[in-house]
Amino acid sequence: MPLAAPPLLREHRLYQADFLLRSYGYKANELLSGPGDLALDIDPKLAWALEHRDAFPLDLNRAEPAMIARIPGIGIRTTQRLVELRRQRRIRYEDLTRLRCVLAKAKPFIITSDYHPRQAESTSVLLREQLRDRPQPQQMALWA
Amino acid sequence: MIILDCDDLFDTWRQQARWLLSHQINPDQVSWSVREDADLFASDTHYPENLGPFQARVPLELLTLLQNAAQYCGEQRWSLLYEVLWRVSHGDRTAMLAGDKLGSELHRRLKQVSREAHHLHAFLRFIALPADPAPKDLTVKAALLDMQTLPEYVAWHEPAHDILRTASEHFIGRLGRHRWMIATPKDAVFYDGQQLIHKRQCPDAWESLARNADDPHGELWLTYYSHIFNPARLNPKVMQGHLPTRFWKNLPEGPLIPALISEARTGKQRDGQARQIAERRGKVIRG
Repeated sequence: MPLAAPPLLREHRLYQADFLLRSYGYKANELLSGPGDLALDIDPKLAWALEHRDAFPLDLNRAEPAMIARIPGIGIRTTQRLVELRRQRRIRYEDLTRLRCVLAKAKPFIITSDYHPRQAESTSVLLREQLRDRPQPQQMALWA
Repeated sequence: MIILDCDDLFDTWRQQARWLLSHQINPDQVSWSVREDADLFASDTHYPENLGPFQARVPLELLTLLQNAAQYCGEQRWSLLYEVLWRVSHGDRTAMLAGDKLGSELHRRLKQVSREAHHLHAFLRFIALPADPAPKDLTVKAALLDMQTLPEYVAWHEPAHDILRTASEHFIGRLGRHRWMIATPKDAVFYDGQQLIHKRQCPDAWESLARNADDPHGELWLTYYSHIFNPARLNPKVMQGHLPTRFWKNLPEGPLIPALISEARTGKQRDGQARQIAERRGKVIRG
């Protein structure tokens, strides 16, 4: 038996990984290559993208739909909508705000007709530091 | 400026929109209003009754989108639909896609409507009416309610959009040949075992029948609910996202929820049911 209960976030990460396996076409060894657990501070999709920086940034006007769905912050539904939209006209940055993508996460990984990421050259370590979920600041216990 | 009144009916709006489109009338020259009195900018220009020369062709899927989005109640309910129709019929298909400025509003409405339909399916509580022993009384009551027979189950619901008519078809498959009735502040539906009857204005008698029904198993449900309410997994923000507070007042367990949340915050996550168990009278076991 482990000494402490696992954090609830672990369960959340497992659910996220489950969705990626079932609907996004990831393979299990892509999400978890080595021994150990899924990272708690970043989601599995972002972790994959940070390890495969050579595939990004992706031009949303040209990329394969399966690859667009692998951009952190852009889901399956948004991918379908982007594909429908680019049949009619070129995709601009403000379209992504309207489609309510998580732009803070998607920004370093996308190119649109009017946007090129400044962070395209930043290292994965730096990006991870910028994008990771920070725990809520906690009040210290009085009698600890 | 042309002011139209479609009486909040999609078919009427559709006829009007077809006429407007055939005369190539720009969306900014039309407005829909429920009131009879004229708009400030109303003009007296007269258009012929029959259809004009322009023949619009739109994809069939747009019609479905518009029909669903028409159930949304809010500002510019009908004029937005006409603007979308105008742009698509003039060759700009982006107007019906979620990435477009207008299209994103259309899709927001579609989402609200489907979510409201989900709320109807999720938070409606049918209450079984007591089987009345006096048959004479029954017929009198049914006649009073403008029904052939009384419903077996009644429910009261307050939807934010006009979804009742389409969304309540869900219950036909669920409840089989039982007779049921759903009353809302606006409209009402009654399923008599054969067909769904929709009233655009809920009759007062139906409303009072639905609101005054007394659930014989109400107490049991409240006890059950307060025991399955898991304080360890409480997330009030997500809970209010899934079960908006506006529905609490019509749910029997609604008044319990604030107390259960505050109990969970003040230590119940640690003690669980310890306090309730301590309150119970123990049994003396004699050896």
